[in-house]
Amino acid sequence: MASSNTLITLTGATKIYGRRAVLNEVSLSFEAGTATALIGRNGSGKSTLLAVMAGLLKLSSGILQQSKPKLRIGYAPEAFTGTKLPAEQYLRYMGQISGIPDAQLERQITGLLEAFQLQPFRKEPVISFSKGMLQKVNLIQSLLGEPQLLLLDEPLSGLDLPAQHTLIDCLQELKMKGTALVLSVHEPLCVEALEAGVHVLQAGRTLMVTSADKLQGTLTSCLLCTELAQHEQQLITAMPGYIAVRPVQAAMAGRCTEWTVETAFADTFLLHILQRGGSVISVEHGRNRNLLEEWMDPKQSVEENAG
Amino acid sequence: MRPLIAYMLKSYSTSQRYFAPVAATIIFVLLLYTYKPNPVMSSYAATGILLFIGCAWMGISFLNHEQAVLRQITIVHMRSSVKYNLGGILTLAVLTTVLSMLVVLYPVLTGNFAEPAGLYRLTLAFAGHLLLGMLGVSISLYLQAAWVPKASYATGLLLIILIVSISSFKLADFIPGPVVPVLLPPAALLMDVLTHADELPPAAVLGTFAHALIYILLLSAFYLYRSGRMDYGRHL
Repeated sequence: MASSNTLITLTGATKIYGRRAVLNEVSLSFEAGTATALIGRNGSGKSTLLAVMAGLLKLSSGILQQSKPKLRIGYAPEAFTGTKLPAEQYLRYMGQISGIPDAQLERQITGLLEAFQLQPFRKEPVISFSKGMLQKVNLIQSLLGEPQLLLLDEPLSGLDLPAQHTLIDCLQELKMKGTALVLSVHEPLCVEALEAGVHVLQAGRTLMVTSADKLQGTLTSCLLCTELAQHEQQLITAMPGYIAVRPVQAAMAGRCTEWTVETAFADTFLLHILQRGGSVISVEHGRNRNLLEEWMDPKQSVEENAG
Repeated sequence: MRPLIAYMLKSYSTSQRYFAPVAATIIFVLLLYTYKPNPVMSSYAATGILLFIGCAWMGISFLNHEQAVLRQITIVHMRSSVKYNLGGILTLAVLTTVLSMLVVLYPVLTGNFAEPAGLYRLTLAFAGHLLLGMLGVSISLYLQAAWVPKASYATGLLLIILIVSISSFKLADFIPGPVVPVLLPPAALLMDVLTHADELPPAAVLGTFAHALIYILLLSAFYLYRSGRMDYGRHL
């Protein structure tokens, strides 16, 4: 249920391109003063979800609801390309289009250009910038006017270490002031520094909604079982200690389900599966996996796809 | 809306994509006035058609000049894709107005006419040029890369529409009924009214202008309606 702090709510959001569902029945809401990291491997639907929330993509089905009719949204897309306009002029135009008062805009542009060490390049055309500098301009335009909802698609991509820390400082300050931050990330740095909630996406579906500390260094168990009916599986995903589920093909048993759960709850899960008519193929206890990094690692998806 | 128009004008002029359509229009107008003296309204009818073609070309180059990712960002800052697209139409209207003024005033200032043009004829010529220019722009709205991704198809379609519009009187002979006069862009009608403006009663001239204006408004309104329901991905 949406609280009074909720800025934006998605219910059953589905986006279909051709015959492929890029987002599939995703439901989530974002509250003021919170940070949420969208994680998942390449092609899991993170960028699409951000573009939907920015109002750039229309949903094939589902509802996108904003708490205010004119919510101030900041959006930094993943692949920012240059413009022939000088950096300072481009940022000024974007701020003016957003309706930011001139004095505030000038102050903010100067401050952000200095913070991101772009002040010496402010008169140069953006198109001549390196990848990291382009990303800085991209991030600065999204931060203008202190948006109520800030959507960042892989914000650390291409940034050097000082710029990464500058960005995180800015984001922490905005979060404290009440901005809802939503970031798609492939690095744990942002998630940890912003104490972000984690929304894991896989093939356009919500795999789990959890927190970073739960995904890091948790003692987990892997339960390989025969497949249960869809509604039974859904019941299990709501049980305490549940972390993730994925379908697998076992050599002897055919189509199976691999449940990743917290070891402390493993017995409860096994009992539940057996009571619902499932068979246990194998149990692997005590894997101290860093699931946060595992879900962020694009290499794994490549390996899986190749496999 | 003003900052958006200022940004679009700056962005388009910096991209230099305006050069080919604007230069081509100006060169053809200069060629037309190589010899003098010229008849007033017939000359304006000819330059009006040049502006119709030039503005359609300029429209496509303008609508395709901003990269998809930059367009996404501008739409988010504007908080409405419909307002963003309306800003595009208004920016093109500003450019068309400037071009119309140049094309209408050039022969007067250089003394290319056989007789004084007079305020009435100048006003008619300016309105006619503006309408023909915006008619070209409103056709180009539907041929930008976001609507017709293949540039060769867009160019082919534009040429067909321009040729059919200019030769609509001949087409009307082959296809009787209201289809040709109602459906096709009224470029030939405007050209005809400008050519015969001296003989026609003002009501007939204004009627044709109103017809063209309604045509432009309908095309623009449907474009805005559709563009509000479109996706703005990073590959458009």
